[in-house]
Amino acid sequence: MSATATDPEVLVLSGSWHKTKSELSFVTRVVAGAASRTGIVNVVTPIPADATEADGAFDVRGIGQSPDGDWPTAGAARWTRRPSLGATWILDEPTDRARELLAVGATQPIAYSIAPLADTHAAVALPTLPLIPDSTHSSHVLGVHVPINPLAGEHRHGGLGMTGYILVLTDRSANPAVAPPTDGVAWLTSRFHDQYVIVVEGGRAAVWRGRALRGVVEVDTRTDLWRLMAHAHITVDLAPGDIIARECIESLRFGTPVVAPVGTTGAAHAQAGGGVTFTDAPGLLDAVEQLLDSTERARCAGRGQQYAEALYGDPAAFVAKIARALWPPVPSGQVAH
Amino acid sequence: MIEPPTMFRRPSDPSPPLEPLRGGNEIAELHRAWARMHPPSRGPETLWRRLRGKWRSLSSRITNGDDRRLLGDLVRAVDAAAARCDTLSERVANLEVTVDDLARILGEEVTRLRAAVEKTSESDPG
Repeated sequence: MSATATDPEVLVLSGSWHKTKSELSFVTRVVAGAASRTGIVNVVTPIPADATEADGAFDVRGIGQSPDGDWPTAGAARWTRRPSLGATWILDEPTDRARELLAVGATQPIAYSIAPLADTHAAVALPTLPLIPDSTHSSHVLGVHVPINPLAGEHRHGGLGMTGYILVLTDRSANPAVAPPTDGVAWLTSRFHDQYVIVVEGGRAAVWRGRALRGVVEVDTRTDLWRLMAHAHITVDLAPGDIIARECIESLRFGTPVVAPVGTTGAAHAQAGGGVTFTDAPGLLDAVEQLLDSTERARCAGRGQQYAEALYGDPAAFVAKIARALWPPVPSGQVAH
Repeated sequence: MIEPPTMFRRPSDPSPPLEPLRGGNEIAELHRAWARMHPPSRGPETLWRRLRGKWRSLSSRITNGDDRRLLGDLVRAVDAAAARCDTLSERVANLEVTVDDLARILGEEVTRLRAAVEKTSESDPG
């Protein structure tokens, strides 16, 4: 299935397209890719208007930019190709300027955002694509295709001699010193003296056991991270990604249950059956203790893997769901415009 | 927010047990060398053999008797030092196990206690 000239048009207004290390960029690209299977996708980013560039399957078009590199004002925007009137707009991050472009560029916009709209009183209503389960969209979750390499489960990370550890994805940014570890790890290695606790941050995995640092190995590639996840007992994501909590999904697809803070995107996956949530340090210890029980861990692993495979492991299903979400079937007796 | 636990500068794990010195090659070789220097008498003791032995012993005592005594004392001193080292190694190994037990058991229990206190203070802020 591929798009033809008569297919519907999607305009992806993406401020994150070039921030390739961000989760928002990953999700935007996956959504654009899925939409391109049934529609014509135009990607517009805040780069100079004459700087159209090829990026994979897409021609990424510029619209101009403000001095701070953000979107231009609606008046200063230079469209090299104006979107058609019936185009569906997808804003990855519905900032004020992006919504201003939408308001001026489309008269009766059909538009969605990927990141949730922070300003709930905004003039332009903008539904968020339901990529993760929540209380209001539980039956309409689109999911996303989050790829993993199942072969990562075959061999453990080359720098580690053990499996069955507690894997912690850090909440510290940049490249902090390995010791002392982040607070969550300090609590875990103190409470579970005999357990190996491996914390991933700054492209390294630091191994802690019995409150002492045992070594540091490099995590150079996504496959290294997948190997660490696949051979862990539990993945604790102290700061899950804002959009879909990609690492939580990857861990669940490998059959490793997750522990995530309440109120984060990762908590949605844990509450869907794939793990346990926590609110503070004592809660974190309780959550991990619960999953160190082999029966409970096996139960969460099974349910979590089933959930993650269904929502995030089927690219064909995701393409179909995106098509239905962006271009809902017209009920019989009505005429499509 | 409660302070996180402090980390150790080095692991508290017990080291692998040390091999006993007394059964080691160096000490055994020392004893073998000493035995070679004082071979047991062979065959039946005749008067002539006994007289020859007495003469050798007397002449040896005159020429290097002090050295032989010193060597004998040294071998015994090495034996005693090795025995003491073995005893100390055993005691250090026991202490290491105790320290690791203390670090694990008390560390875990204090951490649980701190977490429980934190929970209680959060649920009852007054």
